[in-house]
Amino acid sequence: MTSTALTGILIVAAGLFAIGLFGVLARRGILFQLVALEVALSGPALGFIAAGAYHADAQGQGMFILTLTLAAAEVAVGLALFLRIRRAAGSDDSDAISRLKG
Amino acid sequence: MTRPNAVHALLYLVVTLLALAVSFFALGAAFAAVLLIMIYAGAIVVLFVFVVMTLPTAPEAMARERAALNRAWPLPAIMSVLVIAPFLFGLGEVAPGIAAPVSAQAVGRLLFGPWALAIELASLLLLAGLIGVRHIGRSDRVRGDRR
Amino acid sequence: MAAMLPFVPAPALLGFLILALAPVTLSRGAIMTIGIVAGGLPALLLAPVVMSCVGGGCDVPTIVPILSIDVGAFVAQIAMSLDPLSVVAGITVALVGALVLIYSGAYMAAEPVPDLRRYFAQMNLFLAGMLAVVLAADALLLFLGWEIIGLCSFMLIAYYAKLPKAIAAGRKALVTTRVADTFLLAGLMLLFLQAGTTRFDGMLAAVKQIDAWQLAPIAGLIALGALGKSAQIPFHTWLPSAMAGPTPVSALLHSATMVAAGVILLVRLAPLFAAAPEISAGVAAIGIATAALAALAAVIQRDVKKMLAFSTMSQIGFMVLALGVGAPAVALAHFAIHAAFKSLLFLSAGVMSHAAGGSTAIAALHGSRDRQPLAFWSFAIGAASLAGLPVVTAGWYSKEAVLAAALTSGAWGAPLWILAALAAVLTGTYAFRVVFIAATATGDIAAPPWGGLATLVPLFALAFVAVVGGLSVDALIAFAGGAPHELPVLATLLGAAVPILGAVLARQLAGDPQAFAQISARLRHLRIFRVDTLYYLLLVRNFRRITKVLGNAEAREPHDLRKPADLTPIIDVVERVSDDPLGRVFGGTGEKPESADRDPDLVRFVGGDPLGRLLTRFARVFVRDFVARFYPDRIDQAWMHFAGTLGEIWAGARRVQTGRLRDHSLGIALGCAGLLLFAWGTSWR
Repeated sequence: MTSTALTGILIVAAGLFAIGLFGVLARRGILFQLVALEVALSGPALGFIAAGAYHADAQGQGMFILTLTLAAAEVAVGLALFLRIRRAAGSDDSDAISRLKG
Repeated sequence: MTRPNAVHALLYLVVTLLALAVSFFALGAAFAAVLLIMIYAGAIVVLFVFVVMTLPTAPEAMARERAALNRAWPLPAIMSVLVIAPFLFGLGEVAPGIAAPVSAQAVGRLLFGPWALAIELASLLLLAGLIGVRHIGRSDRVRGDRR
Repeated sequence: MAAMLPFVPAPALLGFLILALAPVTLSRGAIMTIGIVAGGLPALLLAPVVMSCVGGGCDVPTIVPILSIDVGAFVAQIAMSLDPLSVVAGITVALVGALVLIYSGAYMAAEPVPDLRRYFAQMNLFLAGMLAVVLAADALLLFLGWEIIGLCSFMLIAYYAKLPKAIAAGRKALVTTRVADTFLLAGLMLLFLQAGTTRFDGMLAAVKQIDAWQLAPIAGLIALGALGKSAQIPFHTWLPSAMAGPTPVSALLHSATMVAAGVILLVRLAPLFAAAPEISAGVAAIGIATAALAALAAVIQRDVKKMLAFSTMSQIGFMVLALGVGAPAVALAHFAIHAAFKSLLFLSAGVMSHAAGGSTAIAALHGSRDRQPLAFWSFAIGAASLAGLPVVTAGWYSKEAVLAAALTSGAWGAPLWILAALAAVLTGTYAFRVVFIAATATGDIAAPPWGGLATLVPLFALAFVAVVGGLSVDALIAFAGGAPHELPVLATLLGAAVPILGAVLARQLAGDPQAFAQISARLRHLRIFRVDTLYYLLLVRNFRRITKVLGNAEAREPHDLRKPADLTPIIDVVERVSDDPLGRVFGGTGEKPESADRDPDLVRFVGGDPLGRLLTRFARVFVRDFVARFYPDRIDQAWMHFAGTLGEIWAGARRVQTGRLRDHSLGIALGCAGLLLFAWGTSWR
C-alpha cells in the first residue's frame, strides 16, 4: 500500500466523518441524528484501520475495537433516550425539547 | 442518508457499513471487518430496526422532515467542510510504511497485554451504558408507583 | 512611686470599658463585682503613692509625662503631677469613690440589670475622669477629665430615664455647666496663648510676665468656669435639681467630688489668682455670698437631699472663700474633710429614707433613730461635723481654719468673718434640724433593718474620718503648703460657740413647726433665689425673641409663659422652670399640639436657629445655582446609555441559547473547527 493510497483512504474517512456531522447538524429527527452519528463514528474507524494496516501495527485495530465499544454504548443510550423523549414530549423532533432555551 | 424515511435511512447505513467492511478486508484487517459486520450491521442496526418498528411512518411526518431539511442545510454543510478542512489540507507527506496485514492474534496480545487498562475502561463504559439504558428505559408507571 | 500615677485611673476606665462595651450579657453579680472592684482599685493603687509622700517625699512636685505631642511651635504634653494637692485630692476622691461604689452595691441592688450595668459603667467612668482632673499636671488632661465628669454627671442625674423631672434636671445641669465650661476653656486658651505651654507649672511660671490687664480676664474666665462646676452663685441653680439622681450619685458627684472640681482647679492655679487680687476679691465675695445664702436656703428645705445639696453649695462657698482670701491649703483641707462628712451624710440619709418608705422628705424621717439607729447615729456624726461642733469633730478644725483665713485676710477680714460665722450658725441650724426631727419618737412600726456589710463599711469608714480626721487638719494644711493662722482667743471662742448656737436654733425650729413654716414662707420670696427665673426672663426669653426674628417666626413662645407676678415660690421654681424653658426650645416635650402637627421637630428646631437657617439657605442656593445646572448629567447619561447597551447585548445574547439540540451541536462543531484550524495554522510548514 502506497502512501498515496493511504492519503486517499484518509480523505474518504474524513468525508465519512463530515457526512455524519452534516447529518447530525442538519437533521431534526433524533433517530436520524443517531444514524448520522454512527456514520460519523465509522469515519475514524476507517482511519484507524487504514493507519494500522499501513504501519502493520495492531494498535490501529485496537483503537477500532474501542471505537466499536463506544459506538455500541452510544447507540444503546441514544436509543433509550429517543424512546424516552418520544414518550415524554410526544415527538421525535429534537427541536421540541428546547426547555433549556435562554 | 438524508432520507425522510427511517427504514430507507437504515438500509443506506447498512450498505455503508458493508462497504466499510469490504474495505477493511482489502486493508488486511479481516478481524476488524468481521467485527464490524457482526456488531454494527448485526447488533446495532437490529437495535435500530427494533426502534423504527415502533415509529409511525406517516407521510406527513416524512413531508415535515423533508421540509425541515430543505430550509436548514447550508450552515451545517459549511460547518462540516470547516471541520474536515484542516484535516484534508493538513495531510502532508506520510512516512513510508510496511503495509503488512495484522493478525487477530497480534490484536489480542495488544488488547490484553499493554492495553488491559483500556479494555477495562471500555467494559466500564459498556456497564455504565447498560445501567443508564436500564434507568432511562424504565416505564413511568413503575416510577409513579415508587413515588 | 510617681510612675504609678498614670495607672491609678486605669482600673476605673477599664471597668467602664468592660461594662459599657463588652458584647456579652453579664449577670447581676458580675456587674457589681466588676463595678466595685474597678472602683476600689484606684484607691489601693494610690495608697502606696500617698504613703511615700507622708515623710515629705513629694513636697517638690514630680511630673509624670504620659504623652507628648510635638506640634513644632510648642509641645503639648499630657502629664500627671505628684504633689501635695494631687495626693490629698486624689486619695480623697479615690477613697470616697470606692466607699460609695461599695454602698451602691447595696443601694442599687434592686435595679434592673441593664440599668445597673449602665449605672456602674458611668460611675466608673466618672471616677476615672475625676482622678484625671485631680492628678492632671496639664490643661489638656484636666479639661478632658473635666468634660468627662460633666458628661457623667448629666447621664447619672438623668439615670431614672422614665422620669421627665430627672431628664430635665440632667439637661439643666449639662447646659449650665456647659456655659461655665466655655468660660473655662476660653480662660485656659488665653492662658495658653500667654504662656505657650499646656503644663500648669509652665503656665504658673509665666504668670509673672503677663500684664495685669490681660491676667484679670484670664483669671476671671477660669474662675467663672470653676465656679460653674462648683455650683456657686450665679451658676448654682443646677445643683438642687441634680438631686433627681440616685442617692449614691448625689453622694459622690454632687457633694463630695465633682462639685469640688472647681475648688481643686482654683487651688491648682492659686498663684494665678494671687497675681490678680481683684478677681480674688470677687471670688471671695461669691464664695461668702453662696455660703450664706445657700445656708439660708438649706434651713427651709423640706427635702433632705435638697437640704444637703444647698449645704454642699454652702460648704463649697466656704472653700471658695478661703481661696479668695488666698489660703488654698485651707480650702484643700476643707475639701477633704467635707468630702468625707458630706458623703457620710448622703449615704446615711439614703439608708434612713429607704427605711422611711423611700421618701426623701425631712418630715418622713420622724422616728429614724428607732428604725435605723446605726444610720441615724452616723448621720448625727456627719451633721455634727458639718455644723462643726468644737473639738470633737473634723469639721470644726477645717471650718475654723477657713474662718481664721478670712479674719486675717486684711481690711475686709472682720466683715467676712462675721458673715462666715453667720453662715456657720445657719449651718448648725439646718444640720441639726434634721437630726432632731429624725430623733423624735413616733408610733411608726419599725421598718425592717436594711444594710449589711456593703452599707456598714462605708458608713463606719466615713464616720471615722469625720470624727478623727480633725486631728489631721493642721498637718494637712501644712502638707499642702499653708501657714497656720494665729487667731485671737475671742474669735476662737466665738467660732466654737457658733455651731452650738446653731444647734440651739435647730432645737427651737424642730420643736416648733409653726414657726418654721412661717419663716420658710417668708424666706421663699427672697428675690435672690429666683436666679432661675432671672435666667429665664433675661436669657431664655430674649434668646427666643431673637431667634423668632431671625428664624422667621418659626420658634414660638410657649403659651403658658409665666408672668413675673405669679412665679411660684423658690422651692418649686427649680422644678417648674427647669422643665419648661429649655424643654420647649430644645427637643420639645410635645406639649404644643398646634405647632407639633404643623412642622416636624427638625424643621422647628432649625427654624429657631439663625445659624442653621443660614446653612439651609446656603445649601438651597448651592443646589439651585450649581447642582441643578448639572442636572441632566452628561457623564451619568453616558454611563446609563452604556449600561443600557450592555443590557440589550445581553438580551440578544440570550437568544443564542435556543435550547435546540442541533444548534448546540452546531456550536460544538464550530468550536472543534476553530480548534482544528488553530492547530493547523500553528503546525503550518
